[in-house]
Amino acid sequence: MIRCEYHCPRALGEALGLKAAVPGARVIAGGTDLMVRLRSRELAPAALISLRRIPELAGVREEQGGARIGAATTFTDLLDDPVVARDYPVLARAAARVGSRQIRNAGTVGGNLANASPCADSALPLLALGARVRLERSGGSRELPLDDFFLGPGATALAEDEILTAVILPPPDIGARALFLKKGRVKMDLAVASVAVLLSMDGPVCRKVRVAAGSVGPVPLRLREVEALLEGAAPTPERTARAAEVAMRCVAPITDVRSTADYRRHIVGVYLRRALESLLGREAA
Amino acid sequence: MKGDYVGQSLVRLDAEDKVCGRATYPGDFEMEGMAWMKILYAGRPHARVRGVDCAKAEALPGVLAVLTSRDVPCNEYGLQYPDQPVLCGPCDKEGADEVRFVTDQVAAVIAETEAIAEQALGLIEVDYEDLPAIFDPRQALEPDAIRLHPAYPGTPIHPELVFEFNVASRHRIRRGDVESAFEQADVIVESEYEIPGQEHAFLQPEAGLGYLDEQGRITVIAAGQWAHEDRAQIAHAMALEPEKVRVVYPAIGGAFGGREDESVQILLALAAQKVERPVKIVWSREESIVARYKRHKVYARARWAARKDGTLLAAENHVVADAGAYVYTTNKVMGNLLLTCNGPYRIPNVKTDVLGVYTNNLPKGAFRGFGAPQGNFIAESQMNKLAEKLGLDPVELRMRNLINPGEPMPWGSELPDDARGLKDSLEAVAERLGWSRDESGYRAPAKAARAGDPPHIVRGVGLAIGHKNVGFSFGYQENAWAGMELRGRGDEPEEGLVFAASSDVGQGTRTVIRQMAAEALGLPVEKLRVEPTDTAITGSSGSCSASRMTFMIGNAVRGAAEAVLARWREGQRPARAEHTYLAPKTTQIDGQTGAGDPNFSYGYVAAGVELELDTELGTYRFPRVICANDVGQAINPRLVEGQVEGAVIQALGWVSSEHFIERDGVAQTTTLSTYLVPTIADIPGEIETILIENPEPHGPWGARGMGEMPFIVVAAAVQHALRQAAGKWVDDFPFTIERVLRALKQER
Repeated sequence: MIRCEYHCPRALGEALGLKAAVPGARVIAGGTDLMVRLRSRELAPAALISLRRIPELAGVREEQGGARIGAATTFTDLLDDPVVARDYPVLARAAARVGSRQIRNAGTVGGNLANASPCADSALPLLALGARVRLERSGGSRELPLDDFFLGPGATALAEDEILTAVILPPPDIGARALFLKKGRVKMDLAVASVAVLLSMDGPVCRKVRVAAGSVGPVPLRLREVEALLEGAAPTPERTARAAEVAMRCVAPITDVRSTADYRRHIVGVYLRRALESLLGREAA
Repeated sequence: MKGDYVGQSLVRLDAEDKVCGRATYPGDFEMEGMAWMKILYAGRPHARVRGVDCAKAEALPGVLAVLTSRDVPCNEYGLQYPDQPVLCGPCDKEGADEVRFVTDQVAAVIAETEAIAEQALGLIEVDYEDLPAIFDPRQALEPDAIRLHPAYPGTPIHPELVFEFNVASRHRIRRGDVESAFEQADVIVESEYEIPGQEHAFLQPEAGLGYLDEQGRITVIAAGQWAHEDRAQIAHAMALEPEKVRVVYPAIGGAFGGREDESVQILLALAAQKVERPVKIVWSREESIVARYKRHKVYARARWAARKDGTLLAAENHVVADAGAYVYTTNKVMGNLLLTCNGPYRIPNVKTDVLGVYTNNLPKGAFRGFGAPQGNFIAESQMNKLAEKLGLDPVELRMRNLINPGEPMPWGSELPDDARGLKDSLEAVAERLGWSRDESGYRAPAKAARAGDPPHIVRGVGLAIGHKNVGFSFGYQENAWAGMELRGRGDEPEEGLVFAASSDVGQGTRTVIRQMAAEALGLPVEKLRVEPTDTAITGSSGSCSASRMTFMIGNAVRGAAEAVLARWREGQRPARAEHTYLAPKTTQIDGQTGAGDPNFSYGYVAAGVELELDTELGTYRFPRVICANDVGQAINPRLVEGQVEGAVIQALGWVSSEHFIERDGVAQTTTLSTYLVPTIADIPGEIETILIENPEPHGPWGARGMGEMPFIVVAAAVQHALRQAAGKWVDDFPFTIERVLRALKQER
């Protein structure tokens, strides 16, 4: 049994006030990651502040041509959302691969990012889509590119008094297509490795490429070297194969209970090539 | 033989309660004044317990009692042979002071709350003398190995329990002369297999409540597979008459063989007696995984020989199984492995040795298939390899060698006359997989890549067939009890009560009992009630294992119905009767040659597997699995299909994602996030169930046992399909990514 102080504020201001006032308090939304660590007694926070009853944190809405996703939006909400389906389908595809239906009903985008696991399924498409995160505290707020949010396993740029309140997506890139590929040991599993690729063509050459890889480093990784190799170049089969090699070199996986470093690296290479070939219409992923 | 109720897919009695969360499982029971119990495990694989000091634990406020070895009147138990202490520690029983695996139990704390009990565990001081340990059964056979158990005298009931040094059980078949047969062979296939263990992973972890009932009887509510055997083992350990003990089964969340041996029952009874209050225990998932026995891991060498035309000449199998720290049901599991590892084939020369060997690993015991999955894998892998080496179609090779009804099996007794199911199920599976047949025999479909497959996807098809006994064998007089009561005043009974001690472990036994009772009584099913499984009100219906329950209890129900109807017609009100069905006799098998008549009934089954392999990633999935099973007569076809689908999925888990790892006697896969059971998202695209109904002459309405059959043939069929897709025979499974990639690499 877990015993600790529990707050369930009804407004964001109240939540921010509590976060500043109660030292050692942790924010909880769906609890799908946090509860596991509480139950195993890995964490024993002084208090929990729930974000589940705060209306402004839930749901997706269009904002400045792009979209704002409230931090407490569940994966099920994302899957059902028409804006996501129309403008950011890769995000829906990743949301569909999170856990089971029950986990998707509870787990939230904000929680997935703030938990800062290298395998966070939503982080990869969001990195590829160029998302930013909004961090708020009592009396102030700031925005960061998602790339700068992750500092290490379980570590983020959030200050002690801050709460992650929203994910901001830029307007959809017309003509860009994106894919998310994930390998778990079984279907309902954390990623052994995963890849998200966004590709926009300008005639025969790649105009824009974004590549992110999960479970192969201390944080969800942007593979900028791979992006640079492809942007402005014709994505011949030789070049996509080369991109896969570079991707395998850029990642830094570890061996743990779920897989080996070698196999994770191997998956990244295979998935990157397949994602590119598929986005180019040359091969099924 | 179909009837008004037999052969009809009635909705399960417990369906609504389970879906709505109303069903009460052992962990759901609470009583006034209830205390909690927690168990102290040894945490070392092999040690002598020199002493246990409970003073600090007993002094903790809220602790009611601490049980140790000296609190157990007869400190031993075991379904087949009592070689395990209830609590390890000094007492008057020789060898009971030894811990032989890491979760051997040393003490139990009973306290006001679960938290206090857990806290008190940490205050118990145990003085251990660590001893050298053995974790590989092959090393336990070495002449310089240490001996893990005293020299037990054994028992004439189980002559295969030889207790020769670390060999707990030994089985043999000797028929003909294999050596000269190998000299005449055109083709020989030799293999070494490593067949893994498996965790039962039933949904409901072990739990229960012990208390003294209104008659002062020591009562245990728990989940098991044979209530009267639980009662007997509790009574034995407590040195009581069985009548002083009562065992009640509520809803049970799965078993698969994993509840055949005792878990919490004996300690709950001891605790309730000690504190004279109700005592409850609920194991965590981790406890359930680390503190219970598993399927046997098996190391096998096989050498089979055939003539050019496919005629089998000889089979030589040498099998060493890890029995773990205690016998449990190892001797009988090995008996079934012995009878299945040569397949259902006409082989004139057979030499088989099967050893069940003690180690300091977790004990190994009953698990769906009970030795047949391992035995069948050896036989069917050998057959698929022989077919390939001979250039013969695998279906054709089997058809040429199948034992015909009336012909002797390797142990001498004849395949029953009703055994058409072997051929029928193989034919059905082959046909669905696209096999054709002409004057030259059976022919596999041409291998065609599917349109739209990317280059990294390759496909394979595999198949296997098998048979396994129904019911307890090897000379045990199989029996099952049922009782009935008809109530009412007029000519027609208004209400009927059915009594049976059958464990409904989730397969729907109680539903099927009700259907069979309605059929036998000629009464509407709505008028019948199946009474709870409770040793206070029923005789023994035997174990819910060996695919036996429907077969055995159905016959008992028929007999009881006949008797109660006769009394009703005589005017008895309420009319009461009971009946004990005795199955046809079997015999022990000869210790040197294996000769005997060990079984009275068999189930027959075949499986076909379509596998899709990603050659780059080494991963695979199953678009389609076909299982044909001769069930004699499906009493409730929908429930039978559920058994087939469940068994197929459970077996696919065993060969693919489930990987039970023990390192130096310590389980490494202790949660369901490291021990990966297939979920609904991992199951085959399609499971096609074919029910074949060749009536079993002794079965009720022609029904035949079936609960284990679909499990046993899956592994060899998958290996066969993987061979085609990956280009290599992989002889050790689970077929992990690493093993598949290695096979692919070697192929290139």
